Amino acid sequence: MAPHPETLRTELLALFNQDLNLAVEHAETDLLEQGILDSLTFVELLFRLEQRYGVRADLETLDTEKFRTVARIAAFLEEEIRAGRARTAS
Amino acid sequence: MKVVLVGEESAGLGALRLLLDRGVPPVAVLTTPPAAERRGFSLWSEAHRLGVPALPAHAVREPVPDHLRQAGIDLLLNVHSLHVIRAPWLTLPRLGAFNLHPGLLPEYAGLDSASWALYEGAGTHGVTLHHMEPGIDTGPIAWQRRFPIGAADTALRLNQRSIREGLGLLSLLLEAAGRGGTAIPRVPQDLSRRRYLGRTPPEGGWLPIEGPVARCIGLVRACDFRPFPSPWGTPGLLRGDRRVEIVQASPGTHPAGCAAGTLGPRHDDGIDLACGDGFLRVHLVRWNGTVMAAQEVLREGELLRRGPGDDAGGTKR
Repeated sequence: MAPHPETLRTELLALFNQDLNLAVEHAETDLLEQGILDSLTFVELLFRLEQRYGVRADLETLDTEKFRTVARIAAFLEEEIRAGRARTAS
Repeated sequence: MKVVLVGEESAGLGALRLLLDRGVPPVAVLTTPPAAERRGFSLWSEAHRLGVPALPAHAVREPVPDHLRQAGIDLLLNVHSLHVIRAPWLTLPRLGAFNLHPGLLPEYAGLDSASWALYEGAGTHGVTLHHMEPGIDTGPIAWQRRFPIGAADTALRLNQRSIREGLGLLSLLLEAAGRGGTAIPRVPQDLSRRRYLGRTPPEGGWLPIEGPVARCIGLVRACDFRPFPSPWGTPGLLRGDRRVEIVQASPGTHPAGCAAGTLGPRHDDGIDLACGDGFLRVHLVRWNGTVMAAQEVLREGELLRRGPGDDAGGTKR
C-alpha cells in the first residue's frame, strides 16, 4: 500500500534538508527555478531515491517536470509504489 | 589497487560511486571545493561524507604531495575536470593516468563535444578513455564507445548517455588494471584528424536561418539542456528590435517558398519558420524571459531576422 502523500513529502523534505544538505522549506518550492536541483544534485537525488524507495529513473529519459517540486516528486513516488515499481522507504 | 580520482560534476560523482562499488575507494579525490558561503551537495562534500580524502582540484597544478608520491598509486583517473594536470601527476601512477573524454577523439577534442556533434548533425557520438599526455585530449586511446544520435536527443540527453557509457569504459579499465594492466589497449590517435573545439558556441548566438533547416535544428538541440542552464545559451532571432529565443524546434513538412525568417502557418504544436531550404517547426520560444508555446507568441507573416554581431549565445539558461 502506498504511504499517505503527506508522509512522502515529509520524508522527501528531510532527504533534501538533511541528506543532501539542500535547503528546501516547502513542498511547493520550485527546485529547478530556484537552482536547488542542478545536473549534479539531480543525479544524486535519483541515486538516493533508488536506494531508499527502489525506484529507477535516469535523467536521460525521465520527465523532469515530475521533479520540479517536492510535492510532484511525492506524487511520482506514490504512483510508482502503487504500480509496484517502487517500495516504501527503507 | 590505489587510485587517485580527479573529477567534477555528475560524471565525477559517478566515477567515485563506481570505484566504491568495485571495492576500490580512491586514495584521494581532487575536486573543486564549494564556495565557503554555499551550502549544498557537491562531490567534495560527498567524498568527505564517505570518508575519502579530498584535495582542491587546483592541486594538480602543483607538486605532488609527499603522501601521494609515497603511496604507490596505480591509476589516476581524470573525469570531466578541466584543470590541466602537471606532468609529475601523470607519471605518478604505475599503470598510467587516464582521461575520460565525453566525445569521440581525435575529431571532437576540447569542450562541449555533445553539443558540437548535435550542431554538426553527426549521426553518432561517443566517449573516449585515453592515456594522458601533457597535451589536451591527445594521448593514445585505451577504449572508445560509439552510439547513434537519435532524432529526439538533446545536449542534456547526449551528455547523460556519454556519462553512462563513459562509466562503462572506466569499468573496463578497472578490470584490466586488476589483472595487471597489460591488457590496457594503447592505440595512438591519428592527429591529422584532430579538431580542438573551444568554449565559444557557433553562430554568435543567432539561429542561422539562411542555412539549412537541419543546421538550425542541430543548434537548437545542441543548446537544449532543459531544465538546466545551457552553457551555450539559446539561439535567438530579432523580432523587431527584441530578441526571441528558439527553445525547441523540429523539421517542418514542406518547402518554405518565402524569404528566410518569414513565419508561416500556425499549428497546434507550433509555428513554421522559413529557413534556407524549407520550414522548421518552432514549438517553444523564450519571450520576455518566459518559455511559451511558439504559436501563442509569434504571428504568421512576421519576419524574424538574425541580429548583428555576436550575441554571446543569448540567455544562459
